[in-house]
Amino acid sequence: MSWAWVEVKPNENDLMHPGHLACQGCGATIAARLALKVLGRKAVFVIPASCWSVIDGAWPQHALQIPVFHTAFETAAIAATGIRAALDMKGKHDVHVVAWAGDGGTFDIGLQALSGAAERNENIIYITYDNEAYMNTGIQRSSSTPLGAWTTTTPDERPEDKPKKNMMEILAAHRVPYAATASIAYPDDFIRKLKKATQVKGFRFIHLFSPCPPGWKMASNLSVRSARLAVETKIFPLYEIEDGEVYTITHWPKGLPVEEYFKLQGRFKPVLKDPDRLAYIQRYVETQWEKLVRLHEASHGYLPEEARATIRSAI
Amino acid sequence: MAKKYDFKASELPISPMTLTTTLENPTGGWRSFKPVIKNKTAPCTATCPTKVLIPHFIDSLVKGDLDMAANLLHRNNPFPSITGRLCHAPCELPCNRGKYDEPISIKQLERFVGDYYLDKKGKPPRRETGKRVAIVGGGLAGMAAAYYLRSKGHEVVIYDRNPNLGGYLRYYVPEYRLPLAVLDAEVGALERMGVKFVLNTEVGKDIGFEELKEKYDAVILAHGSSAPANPDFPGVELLKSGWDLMKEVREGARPKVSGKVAVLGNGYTAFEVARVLRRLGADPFVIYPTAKIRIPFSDREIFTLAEEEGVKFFFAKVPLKAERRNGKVILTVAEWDGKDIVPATEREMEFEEVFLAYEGTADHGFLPDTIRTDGTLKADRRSGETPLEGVFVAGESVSGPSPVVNVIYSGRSVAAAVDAYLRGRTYTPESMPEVVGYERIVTDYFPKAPRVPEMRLSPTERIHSLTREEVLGYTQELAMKEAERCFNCGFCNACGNCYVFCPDYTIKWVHGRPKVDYEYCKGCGVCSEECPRGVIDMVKEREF
Repeated sequence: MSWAWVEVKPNENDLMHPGHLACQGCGATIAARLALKVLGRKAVFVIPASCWSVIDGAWPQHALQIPVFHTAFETAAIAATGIRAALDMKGKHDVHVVAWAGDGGTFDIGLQALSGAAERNENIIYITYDNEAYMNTGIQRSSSTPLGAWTTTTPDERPEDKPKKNMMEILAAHRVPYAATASIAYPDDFIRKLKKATQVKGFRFIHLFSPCPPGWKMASNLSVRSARLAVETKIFPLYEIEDGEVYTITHWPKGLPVEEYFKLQGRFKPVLKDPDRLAYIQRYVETQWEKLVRLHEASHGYLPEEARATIRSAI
Repeated sequence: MAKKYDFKASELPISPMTLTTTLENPTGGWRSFKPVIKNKTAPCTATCPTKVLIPHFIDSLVKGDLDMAANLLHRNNPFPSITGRLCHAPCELPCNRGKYDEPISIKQLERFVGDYYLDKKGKPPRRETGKRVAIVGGGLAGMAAAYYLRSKGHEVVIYDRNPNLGGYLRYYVPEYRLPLAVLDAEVGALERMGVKFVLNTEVGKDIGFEELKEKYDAVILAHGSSAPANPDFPGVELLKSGWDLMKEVREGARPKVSGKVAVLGNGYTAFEVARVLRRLGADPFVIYPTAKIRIPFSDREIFTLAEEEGVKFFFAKVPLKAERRNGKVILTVAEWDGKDIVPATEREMEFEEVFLAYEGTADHGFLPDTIRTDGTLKADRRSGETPLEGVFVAGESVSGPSPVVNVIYSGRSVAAAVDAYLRGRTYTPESMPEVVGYERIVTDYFPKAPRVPEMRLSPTERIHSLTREEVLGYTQELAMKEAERCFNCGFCNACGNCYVFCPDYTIKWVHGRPKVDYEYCKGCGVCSEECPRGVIDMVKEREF
């Protein structure tokens, strides 16, 4: 094995400068770097209030080598729609307009604008880098915070008791042409999906899993490893939905127990102390996974060999 | 009085827009630990007696650069075609992949690369030093020493009493284990390098040791351990020599042996003689002094092969007496507990023929007393230095019977010591950086894959031929498939993980290699954690 990556090419479209203001081990910066490798210079980012508003640098600095439009929290999708319309008027149809929002700006505050843009099938790419809380403002719970997690507003005595909002299903219900989940730990998979998204016209949505070491109470070097374990424990499956109906699982996980993922992070300490809650979460993850596998089977009519092993463990 | 600012609105930007980049923030100051990209030693290399750069050559093999792979392999092992057939492969035992699924078949990869390069090697050195070295004995140790000394530019002359080089490998090891063509090619490579041979010349008889010392700047004694070392018991003179049998068979003779025969021995030669006898049509029994579990690891492979072929064994037994009755040999054996004969375990066994196949011992008869004490040579194990200036000892003549790879290492290290001596430097044994353990390997990046089996003859096919090679090794396709399984522990093969996952884009990709930009690196440690082979270390930057 020499160069290990199929889709990622060295020294091609490295459009992010070092010196940006992200914390050590930030998943969102890996995400942006990988996204720009596909999009190239012909792209515009629309960033609502989120970590990336800070990462990009205080005025007058700027970390990306493409235009970025900073906007208000709830307006990522609608501002992107406007920029798209303006570019279309100018005849610049080859420029990708990307709404680059955090999970708060997507799952909670930006949801109505997102829903509107998705329903109108605006020709934009919406990427949400999901770090599972309002990290930038001090780790407050968002509707993306997973079951059992600590945040400053769901403290150890009373950890998050509601599952993560299923954003993909909401988007699927809008019948958008393309929606996919991706993880920074699987760059080839992410880049393949983003490439596919750039070739589709209409509203495209990518739910990108990107760990936050300070917010998740873990060492900065574990960032990629925790993202990988989230996928391999079936907590964050990698799949895509075409036209709201065709489900395809793109990576078949090993099906490790969820503790493997929880162990790395301080925010799951209350869960690890509570075996009942842990068993409940494991069951919840298994049922969600099984539902997804059934959707894949219904879409394609068969299951690959790798799928069998992951399902047997579900029962 | 403060200066009054005087500017027009048109001179300002129309909106708060970017004027500069974040390159103005040298975020390297945030760092407590810094990543250091440094190659380490793989467990296979650390275990290999001659420290073959295994991850390095396998990486070149994967990249399809067979010549580069061969060069890296020859750096520490001059004869991979020989070790690829005869080595007991201690490198495969600690292989990190063995803790994941199955160890890499390093021996077969080595053989594949060695065979590929067999006819290409043997370039004369670029520069001649004008120093002259004599090597006594053209066995494996002598050949290895000659290879390295010649490649350093010294004039090397090998003295051997036999008509050709190779020693034990040429005259005793059977054709089915090491084809003569391979050995001839290795000798041919030495010849092409410009090593001179003085054959049919026995030092001590045809030319004196003192004369050699006069004529040459340095002398390496690599006369091996070929003197017979049979135990002394009544009737030992009635038994045949297994060594002679092997020699006859190697030369093409096919002596008639049949029925129950016994082989007395204590090592590799005993097993090999038994296998030769099996092929000649006899039913051999090996009488071996230790228990089965005490067979040394270096003889395990040959023992398994012999067992597969139907050779039978009597373990922990020693011969006491041999006599001839009615044309048969009656051998009295007794149990041996490692130190002594177990009383009242004597037992008579009847054989058609009994062969002596004890490992040899070194004969230092031709040497002056100044470097001998009670018949043994006084020499440093690694550098081979003796009390006599300019005289060095290599190989089995000092270590006794050893596996091929240990002999090659002896030749190589002594060559380094001689080179240092001739250049007037002090010899320092090579040191190895730290070994990469299994815990440093990120196995998520390696899909499970079983070891690719090499092509070999089945035991029934094997016992029908004394000339057909028993292990056929890999084709290029199989070798590539096996090489791709290697973790390349501790060797940066430019997989790109550190570059891809760096959140700060401070690991740059320069000429196909990662390079850390310390001005901006925040020291998060993702590169170290995601390096699949433990090349990147986090080093503490400052004390608090």
